[in-house]
Amino acid sequence: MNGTPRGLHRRKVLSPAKEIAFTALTCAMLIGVQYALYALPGVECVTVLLACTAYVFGARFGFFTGLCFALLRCIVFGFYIQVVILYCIYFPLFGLVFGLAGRLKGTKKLPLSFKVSLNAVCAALCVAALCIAGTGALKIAPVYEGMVYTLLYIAGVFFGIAALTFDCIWIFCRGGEHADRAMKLIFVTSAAALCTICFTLLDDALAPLILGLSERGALAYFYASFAAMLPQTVCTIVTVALLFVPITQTLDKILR
Amino acid sequence: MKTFLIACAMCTAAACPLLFCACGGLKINPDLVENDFGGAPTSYVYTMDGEDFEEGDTFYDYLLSLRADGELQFETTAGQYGPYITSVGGLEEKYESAASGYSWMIYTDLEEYGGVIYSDASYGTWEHDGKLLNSASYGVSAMPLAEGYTYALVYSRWSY
Repeated sequence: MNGTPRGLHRRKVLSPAKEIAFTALTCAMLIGVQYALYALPGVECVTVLLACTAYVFGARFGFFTGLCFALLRCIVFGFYIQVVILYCIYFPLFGLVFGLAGRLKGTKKLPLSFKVSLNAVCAALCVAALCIAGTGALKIAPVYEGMVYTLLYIAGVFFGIAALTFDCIWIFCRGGEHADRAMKLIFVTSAAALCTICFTLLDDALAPLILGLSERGALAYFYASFAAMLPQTVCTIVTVALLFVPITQTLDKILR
Repeated sequence: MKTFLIACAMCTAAACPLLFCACGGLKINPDLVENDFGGAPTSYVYTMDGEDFEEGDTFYDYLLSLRADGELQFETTAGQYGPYITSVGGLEEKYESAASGYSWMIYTDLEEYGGVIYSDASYGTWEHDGKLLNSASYGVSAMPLAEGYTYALVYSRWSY
């Protein structure tokens, strides 16, 4: 019993000095990227950068980098209590999740529990998104309806295709290195999309508490948040799917 | 087991900020302007008459028609969720610090329309002629016009 779940591998670890240095460097990069791309909504570079570094350098690195980023970014963007609390909860947990997911790196194939979880989550998100879009259940201002429902369909279709592609690779392309990489990429992209959705839902839960909103005000906040959540989720899917492999490969070379 | 305990400890540490919520009681209430800004008006109030607008028009459409008629001057920038008003009648928004400043905010008594909640008193209120208006939950281009309802642009101080 070495503390590592069965089917997952321990990675090559950084020395404490290197870990601290890399944490500081990654924090600076995250803040720089967020500042530089502040005016470009939808380019989810912070998400992909933190996901990649945590995936390569580990859960502890991901947790503390997420926490440092959440606190230090306030120097540039201001200390808004609502944002500080939201970021201090979300980003450390995001780093932790991708750090733990990084243990898949050394494995030849994904553990069965991961495959089942991915199918369940993707199927649930696909059904939820398509049902909401199909029934028009969101009480949002008409000016946002077109954009929100279109993106709901896109997100629903993505999660459906992701699950189907994943299952096809799982069933028909066993053992291939490329198949294994593709499955891991689908897993990571879906996890990042799910985390982005959780970010907005967490904000929906925290903001009414912090701002002292009434039940009705909280409901309005929840519905209005879909106009922000869906573009972010779709952009996360695109950004992570495109950038995750090249960035992790580059970071792997640094680690070696 | 050790990894599991570390993960639990990390989750607990990350959840600690929730305590701030429990004991916070923080409330963001815009302190409305009472200063004299060189005589520039700090509020513009409009109550809708059926002749003022067409079905489907938004508050932004109405403001554009006022600007076209020369009755109101305002400037906007393109925000993520549509046009964002930066100045009205020459009075521009301004930041005092990262956590406080003055902005043009929309207040209305249109609370719900077509099943959509457009304002709520818990977002903040502003009183005008004995009528209590709520801070809007949407931007100017998403606020529908409805007959008999009042819409106001108010130069408001905000702070965190």
